[in-house]
Amino acid sequence: MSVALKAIRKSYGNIEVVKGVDLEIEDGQFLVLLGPSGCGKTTLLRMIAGLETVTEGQVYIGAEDVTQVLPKYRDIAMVFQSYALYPHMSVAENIGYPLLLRKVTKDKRAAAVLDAAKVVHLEDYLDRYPRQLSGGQRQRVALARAMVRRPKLFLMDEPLSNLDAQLRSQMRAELKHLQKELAVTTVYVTHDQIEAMTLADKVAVINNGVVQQLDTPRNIYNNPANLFVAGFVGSPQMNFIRGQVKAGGFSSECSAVQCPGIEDNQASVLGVRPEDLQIVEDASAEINARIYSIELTGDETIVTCSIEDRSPGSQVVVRMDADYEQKVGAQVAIKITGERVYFFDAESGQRLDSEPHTARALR
Amino acid sequence: MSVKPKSLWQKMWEPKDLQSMAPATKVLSYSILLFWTFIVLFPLYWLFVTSFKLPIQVSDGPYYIPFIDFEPSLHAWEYIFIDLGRDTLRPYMNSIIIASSSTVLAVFIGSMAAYALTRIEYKPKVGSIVGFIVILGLVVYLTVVVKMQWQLTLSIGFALFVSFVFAFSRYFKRSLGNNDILFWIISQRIMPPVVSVLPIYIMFQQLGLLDTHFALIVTYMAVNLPIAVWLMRDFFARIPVELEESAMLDGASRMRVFLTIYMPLAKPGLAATTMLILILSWNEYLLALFLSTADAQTMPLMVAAQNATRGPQWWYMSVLIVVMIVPVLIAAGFIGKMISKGQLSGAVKG
Repeated sequence: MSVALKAIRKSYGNIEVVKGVDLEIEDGQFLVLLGPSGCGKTTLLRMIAGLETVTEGQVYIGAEDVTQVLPKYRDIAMVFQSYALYPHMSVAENIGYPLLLRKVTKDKRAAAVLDAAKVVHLEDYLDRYPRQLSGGQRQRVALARAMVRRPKLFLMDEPLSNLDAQLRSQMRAELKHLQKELAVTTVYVTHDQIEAMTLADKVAVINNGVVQQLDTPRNIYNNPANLFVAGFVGSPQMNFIRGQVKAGGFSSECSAVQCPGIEDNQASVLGVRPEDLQIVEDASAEINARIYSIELTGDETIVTCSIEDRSPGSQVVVRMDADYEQKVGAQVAIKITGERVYFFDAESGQRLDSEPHTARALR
Repeated sequence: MSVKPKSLWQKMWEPKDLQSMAPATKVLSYSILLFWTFIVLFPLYWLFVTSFKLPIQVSDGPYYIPFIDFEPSLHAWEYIFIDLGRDTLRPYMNSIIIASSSTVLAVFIGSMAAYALTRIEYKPKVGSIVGFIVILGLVVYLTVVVKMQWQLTLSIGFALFVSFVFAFSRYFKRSLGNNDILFWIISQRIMPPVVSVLPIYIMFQQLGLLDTHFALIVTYMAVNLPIAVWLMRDFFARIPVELEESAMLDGASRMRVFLTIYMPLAKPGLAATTMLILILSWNEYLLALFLSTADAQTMPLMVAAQNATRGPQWWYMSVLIVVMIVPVLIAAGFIGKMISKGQLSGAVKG
């Protein structure tokens, strides 16, 4: 079932949390709402569920306006961050509760519960109680309870945030597989960009109650619409260097590059991801810096350099091969080698270029 | 490392190892416990032996050990159960009916109010409340002083209030919250019951319901409701709100959520509240004294009645009190089993 949000606003007293959001979610799509905590993404999800009233605007599920419809009539299944299992019911009773409320006969219910439990590998735990389960198992019970019927819509509010790293990546793959198999439209809230990138068909990056960009994960990463999206997606973060654009050239205190086709701008920002930079011997490199710290992650080395810049605290992060070695404090030169360099307006945060510049175009 | 030998003082006050208590602490705490146990149990024992004494033995002075100090006799038990017979059974059944039904009602209705107060936000407008009080005052004035018919004044007052609220309440800014409502509810218990006992008496007299089970059940329920609301609210507040939201999305109505999620999860709270209210209404004396005379008489009245013109009949009182304690003990045994820990663990990740 498709979902549409039309000019949604939400205020608590005088504080506006969601400031006019328009979203269209196609049938069967996996949409991730990504944003920092307090950006309004959970409020948005809860408004789709009907757990929060809408101050202004409409929510459509399919062709129906459900803005004023009680949650129980919306036919939505939601997985909560805190699982929200009923502690006085066994796993089987928990999973079967939505069916019990729909007056499904006992035999059919038992069969459906078993099916749902098998999908999440919990068929041996049906008689246990939530308190006897581990966090991952509880999470899977919550998922099974959502999947035991075929709702119009799945809503998931950071369902993996309480799991440890290993289980999380495991559950991520499982979730993605299940969603494609069931082909139920899903809205998923997270602040974890890895989850957003891996799970989503489309990502809506949200900040300050406004959708910053709605696009495929690839486009969000490769072609961010503004400074916020560029900085929020990607780990380590994209490097930003402040400077000016004058006559088709960007210059800052530590670097100067060509940027054809961009209008003059007194306060602009050059953005480049760590993997598009290399530390080189070449003295003609774009950025001069001193090594601040070196972290080996196993398959690569994250090198943080402080720019020899009069603006204190400015740092550039470079992603190098795992065998890179250098002393902390050493003078190095950093060269832009990759294909994606972005220019932003420092005031509004908007992109100045429509397509990322390649390294060649900069010289 | 050489261990310094301990002084006698240290040996007395410091435990030998981590598992045991220090000797002096042990002696001290057990003697305090023993002393307190004696204080608590002795009156019960005294009561019990008194019920087996003849009047002459009671007035002889304090003797406590049956068969040695005095020869036990069943005469008081015979009088209460055989001579009085039905006259004992009636107040006994009255007490059971009144206490249990008023408790069940108070706990159930109180729980519903407590649930509403934890999960729904109410904003009664101060202006509307003032309007209500003014209109109520007018109604009373017109009825009592101007001597208009109460049916007339009441219906006009009601209509006035409804139109007042619909017309003006949106303009009122200041409103009260759930905590104000809660305080208002509990404030009804701050006032001593003696204050309200006469109006209640007159009300039931006018209704012709004096000396009925109904009058006592309703009154006990009303008196104990604030306690139920106050206690249950705390237990409901501890239940994570996600459980309710999840159930609502699963398709449950509010009543269903209350009955199948909240009530089972608040079982320990329900048990404690039920126990407390049961004891309060079981032992209630003052209201029963006013509202019942014969048919609806309860056990506390019956006990008090033994302090008759012939002076206090300690032996009969003792028998009655002993049989009065029994149902409460049984109820406590059943209800106590429900007070178990860990009801909520596993609901949400802490």
